[in-house]
Amino acid sequence: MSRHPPSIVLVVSHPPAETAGAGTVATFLHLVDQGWHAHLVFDGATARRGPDVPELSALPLRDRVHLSRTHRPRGTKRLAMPLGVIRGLGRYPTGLARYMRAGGRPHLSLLRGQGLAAALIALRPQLVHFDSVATASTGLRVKRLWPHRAVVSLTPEELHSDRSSRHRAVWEEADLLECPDDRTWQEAVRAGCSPRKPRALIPLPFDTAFFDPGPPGPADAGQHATRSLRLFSVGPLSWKQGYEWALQAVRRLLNAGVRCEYRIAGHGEYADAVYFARYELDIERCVSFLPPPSREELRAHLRWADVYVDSAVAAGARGATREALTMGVPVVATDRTGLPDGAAQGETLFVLPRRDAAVLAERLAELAGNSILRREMGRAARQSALGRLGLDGFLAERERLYRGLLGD
Amino acid sequence: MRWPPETFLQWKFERLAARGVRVTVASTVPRRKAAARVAGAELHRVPHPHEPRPLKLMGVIWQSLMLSRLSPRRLATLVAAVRRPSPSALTKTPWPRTIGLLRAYLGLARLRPDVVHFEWERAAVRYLPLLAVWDCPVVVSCRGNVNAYSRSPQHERWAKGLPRAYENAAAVHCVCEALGNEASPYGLDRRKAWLIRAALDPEFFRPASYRRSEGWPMRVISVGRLIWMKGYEYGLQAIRLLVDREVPVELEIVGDGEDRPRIVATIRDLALDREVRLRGRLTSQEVRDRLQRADVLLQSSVTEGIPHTMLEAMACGLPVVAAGCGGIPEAVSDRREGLVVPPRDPTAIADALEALWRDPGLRTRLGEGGRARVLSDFTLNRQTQDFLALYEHVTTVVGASADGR
Repeated sequence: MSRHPPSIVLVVSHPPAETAGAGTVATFLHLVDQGWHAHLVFDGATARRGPDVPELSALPLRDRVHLSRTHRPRGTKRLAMPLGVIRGLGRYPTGLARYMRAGGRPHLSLLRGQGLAAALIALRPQLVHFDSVATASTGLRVKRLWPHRAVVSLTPEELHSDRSSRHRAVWEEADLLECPDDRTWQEAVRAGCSPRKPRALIPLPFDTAFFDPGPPGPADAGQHATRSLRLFSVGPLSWKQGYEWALQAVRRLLNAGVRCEYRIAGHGEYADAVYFARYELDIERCVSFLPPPSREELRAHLRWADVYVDSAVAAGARGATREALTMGVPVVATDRTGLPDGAAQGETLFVLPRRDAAVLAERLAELAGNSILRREMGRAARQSALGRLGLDGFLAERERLYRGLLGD
Repeated sequence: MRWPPETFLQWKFERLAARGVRVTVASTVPRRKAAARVAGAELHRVPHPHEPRPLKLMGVIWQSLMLSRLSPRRLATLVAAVRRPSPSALTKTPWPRTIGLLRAYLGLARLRPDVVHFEWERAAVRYLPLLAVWDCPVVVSCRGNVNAYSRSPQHERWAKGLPRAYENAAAVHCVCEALGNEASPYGLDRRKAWLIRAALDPEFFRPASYRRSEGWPMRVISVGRLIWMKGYEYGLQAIRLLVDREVPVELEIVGDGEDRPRIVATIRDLALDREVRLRGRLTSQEVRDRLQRADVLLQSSVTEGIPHTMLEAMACGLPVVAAGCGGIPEAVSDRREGLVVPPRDPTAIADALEALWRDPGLRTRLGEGGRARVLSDFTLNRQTQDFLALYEHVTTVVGASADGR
């Protein structure tokens, strides 16, 4: 290592994208432990709507965690622009001029030091890691202001979104692209990324130490026959999660005489539709909605559950699916891009067609009536997770990647 | 309400104005739509909620002075009503919020109408404190399924205010029986409910003057805002099933809304880029032209009152395939005006569309049946008479009983 600790800024979109964002906070904590001059920026967060990460609230870390939000002034607030320009010129005269020459617009937020670009200019790190193309498309505008390297994490969700022009600009500017698996990389190439672009494949971690199955639950003790099948899902109440189909499957299960209890943890803009589906399908008694869980709560929910239901209809890696597999909870998931690498159909999880409540209900009924199958699937999933990249390995891989980029 | 109002409301106001009723529409008018006009209706501008704070404060001071000149008692009553804890809160409304609400209410409090009609329940709840200062009967329209919002915690405040809105209303206008039934658990006294059906101008929405070609592919159209309640995803799944069954079909979706990304993603995911077209929001004339060129209207909603677009299609002689939710079965009898299928059932939708594709005669019969149904039950003349009777009832019968108390 060089005499001065290397400086890095990790940029996480707020709320964090599950694929990379969850690992970024862990990476930040690891780098601080290793003596890096590391900073974490939550892009899109404000003091009122900020991240709720208890690990980051400790005093020495608080100065290294920043919130940034691009604010476009409207109405009479635009009158404050000249004052902001004067202030911005005073703070970083050459940087601002170069930023504007590079095509950046002098948003009031930048001038007031609130936007992502402003945060990066103020920190001037040697390396910036963006957890998504969305954050990179704003943050990479400052790429030419001072010499530094930029890493961008690619996610299946973003590759399937309709923002190809934004992607191309990011792929050109970034020094290295990080992908969770080869499928994601192949999709990026298909979407127009140069196959010669430097890349790193770092699989998402299976945190087997934290997400352990715990002591044998009631299902293992043979009590499952006397109680309902416990289903669990976690994730924002968004259309991408396909909860409406999961709820229809629950209705079908009840119609078939299979008792079940379904918990969904998450908030979101699609709550109206999901709550209405629960009412309309007349399953309010056995379906409950819970707030987004902390890691500890998620572990407790997964210990409670007999089956984890991932009914997503849009591409994306759902962190909780990986965590359910890690904890040995049988998973029923839909066949979109972004399923955990190494998940084997029928062995560690069931993969079903998207938007098909009938098939989902059939699989759940099969699992409800066969505790041995549930136990076998759970055991296989746990074994598979133990053999895969753990959190420590993931953090070591990332640190190696950063050091390689900085030429350490 | 929004400005300019929806076409069906514009028609209603025009007809009422033609019958000598003075109509004032209260709306927060977006700047880009300020030039829009509705024949026969005056516009009362409600200040925009995102007005800058200094302007808001100045507006409140100015309008308070104006109202106190007119009636100091009204001003005091309004402030007390705004400050009163809402059904979902235990504490009084804080002053910053009070000022924001007063900015919206003060201008309206100066009006002295004979009847106030909230065309949407949500507006009735939002403007509840005004009911304390208006000494005239209030009518609330029940146009959408109450349960579509009230079940979600995001709309808890609204759901809790709904019983008070119904209680304070002299009459509640329901566009269909189903909505009246849905509203009953929220405090709607069925004796206050008036069933007045939706209506349209069958001379404007009329069948094509040219003969519709019998060629293929079958042109299916869906019209409506792109929101989750319209259930477009189930319609798209049905189109996928039809393509898999090698039924030549095209779907045109007219409308715009917050669910557009979901619909675009679903079209791509189901590989329907060639079969499905999103047309965005169109004018009434453009919608009519599209309906006249289509073979079938698909209404795959999961919750509804009686959708106007479905009536418009029926008036254009189009057979409809509609999910039997809300008030739809009250407007479409299965196999007479259209084919009614269970909600959230893509296979049933696909079966119905395929049946219509295989039998052009059935399409013609259902189309004729739909047009006849609109001409008998959903005309503007009938609706205008019903509304005039409703307003007369609340001003004479209800008003007199209130005076008697």
